[in-house]
Amino acid sequence: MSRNRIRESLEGYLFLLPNLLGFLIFMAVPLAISFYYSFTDYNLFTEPKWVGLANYTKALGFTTNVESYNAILASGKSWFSALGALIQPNDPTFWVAFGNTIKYALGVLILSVIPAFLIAWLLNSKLRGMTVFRAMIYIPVVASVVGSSLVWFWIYQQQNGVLNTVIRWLVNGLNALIFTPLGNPLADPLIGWLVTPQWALLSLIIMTSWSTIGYDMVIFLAALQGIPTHLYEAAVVDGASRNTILRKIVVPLLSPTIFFILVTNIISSLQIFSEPFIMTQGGPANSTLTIVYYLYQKGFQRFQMGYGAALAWIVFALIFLVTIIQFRISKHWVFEE
Amino acid sequence: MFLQGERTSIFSKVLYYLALSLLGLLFLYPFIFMVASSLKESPEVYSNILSLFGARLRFENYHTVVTSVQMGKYLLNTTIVTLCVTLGQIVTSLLGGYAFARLRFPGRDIIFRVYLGTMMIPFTVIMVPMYKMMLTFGWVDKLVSLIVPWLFTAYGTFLMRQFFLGIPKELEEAAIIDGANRFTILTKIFVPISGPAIATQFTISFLYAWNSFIWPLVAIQSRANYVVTQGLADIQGGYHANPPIVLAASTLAIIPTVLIFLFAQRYFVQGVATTGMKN
Repeated sequence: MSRNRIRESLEGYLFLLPNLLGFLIFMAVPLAISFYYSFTDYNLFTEPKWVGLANYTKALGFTTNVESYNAILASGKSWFSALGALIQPNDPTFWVAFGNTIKYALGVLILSVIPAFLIAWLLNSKLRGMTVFRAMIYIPVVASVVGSSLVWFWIYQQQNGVLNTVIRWLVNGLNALIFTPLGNPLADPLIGWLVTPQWALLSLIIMTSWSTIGYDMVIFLAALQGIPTHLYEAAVVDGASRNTILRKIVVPLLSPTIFFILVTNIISSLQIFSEPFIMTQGGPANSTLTIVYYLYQKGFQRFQMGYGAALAWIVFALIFLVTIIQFRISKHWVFEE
Repeated sequence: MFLQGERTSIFSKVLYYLALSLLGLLFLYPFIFMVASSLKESPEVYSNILSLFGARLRFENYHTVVTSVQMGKYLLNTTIVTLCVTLGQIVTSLLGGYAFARLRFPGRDIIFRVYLGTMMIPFTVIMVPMYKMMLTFGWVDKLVSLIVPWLFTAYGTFLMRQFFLGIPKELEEAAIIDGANRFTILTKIFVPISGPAIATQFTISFLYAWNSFIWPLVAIQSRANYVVTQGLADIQGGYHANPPIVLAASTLAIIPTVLIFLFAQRYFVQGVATTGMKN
């Protein structure tokens, strides 16, 4: 190597030094320690105690109880309803949080990706003023989730909340117009958005979707604007309907974008924490407890740091899995030019 | 919708604008409600939650929030943390981005790939050891714990590298022949024309730092050192029955990021689009 090359190499490392140091101290080292902690019993104040895979088997493992399974079968019920008695998870709460997180991710996926695409389609126009509308949709993305959660808390109040007031107003209107003359007035549903287990998760999903749509929409919009206009023009000249253009040109060309959005959406939903923390504290009856919230409870409220670390690695494994699946599938069905 | 080459009638245009305005208002409604209610008296919120105005506009609610609820202190803490993190990230990203884009050294591409890969790691994985580390450093319950670990960003470094790669080499060649050192080249030639990239990173870093919640929740314990998001959670607990106070606090927490967004909209969009591209 010439003197110049050596000098250039040294300069390269020097310029990279802050990043390298930061990466080593605040990423690589904690990552290794976290992996070690996940195999220990650790309460922060005494030395970590090696427990092998115990944290992972506590979270993911289960025991089988054949006796109670047979007992339920004997009582005449189906094998399916007896399954719950057969498989008894070591930590049922983890599975509740796991299930909630999956539901959360799927819910946000459906309620944000599809509307985001439709709005982007609507905003992809040559008319004036589109940036104003784009900004209006995007503002919820930049607002602090904690701040927005406090606002939605009042929208979702059962007594006199915004949503229930609007619903009452609609019900009264419908009653005055139709149902009371028919002698069968509707009752005010007075939904407990945040205080009943069957509604709480959905309420959080709606709020999170509201704050995610703008982000997805901007990515969709950038991709839509990247489609060469001559493709549309040719289709319009050929007399293709808007529907056909959407299905035959736009969606195939946008498939990498769609995939990217699906994956980033799932990855961020798997880490949901602030919304349930502020609005429901994971309740009612753990119906909005997410994995990361459970991890926080275990690690930082009960000081079961080893278990908390293991839960974090499980989240990481899930994210890794989603990313791998994305790479595999996208090879098959994503259209590339 | 309304693409080049399509014929459009006035009627369909009006309908289109109407639909978009309704949609936009629907998305903004929570904020309209927030600001309107923050200027009411508590009973006015309860009695008629949909009305935009109470008997009069009570700006004193904001005074209460800043003084007796200490929101002023929380805002100050967050501002300090956010500015330090944002400026620090820009500096380290400029340095790192330059090294990855322009300098040749052994292992460069491997280091770059590994560094990019770290973006996939969720923060929660390193949260427990980070807390332990803060204890060891004596940084728990100090703002420094919210600053120093966050001065480095793979995403920002990536952003700068991409931008620098687009700068023609001729621009710096004369300076290299003249024997200018690399640092001078970066600060005198690259930085002055990197306005858009720096602005993009500023918006992203600012947003992230301002809105962060779970780490301050873990690392900061005493009220005097709370950041805004923590303060909000605390106010929600204490002023549960007083929605104007809670909503005035939310308004103060949300306004800075919204303002920055409105002024720097195109950089936000650029940042998001770059994220999309990396796929």
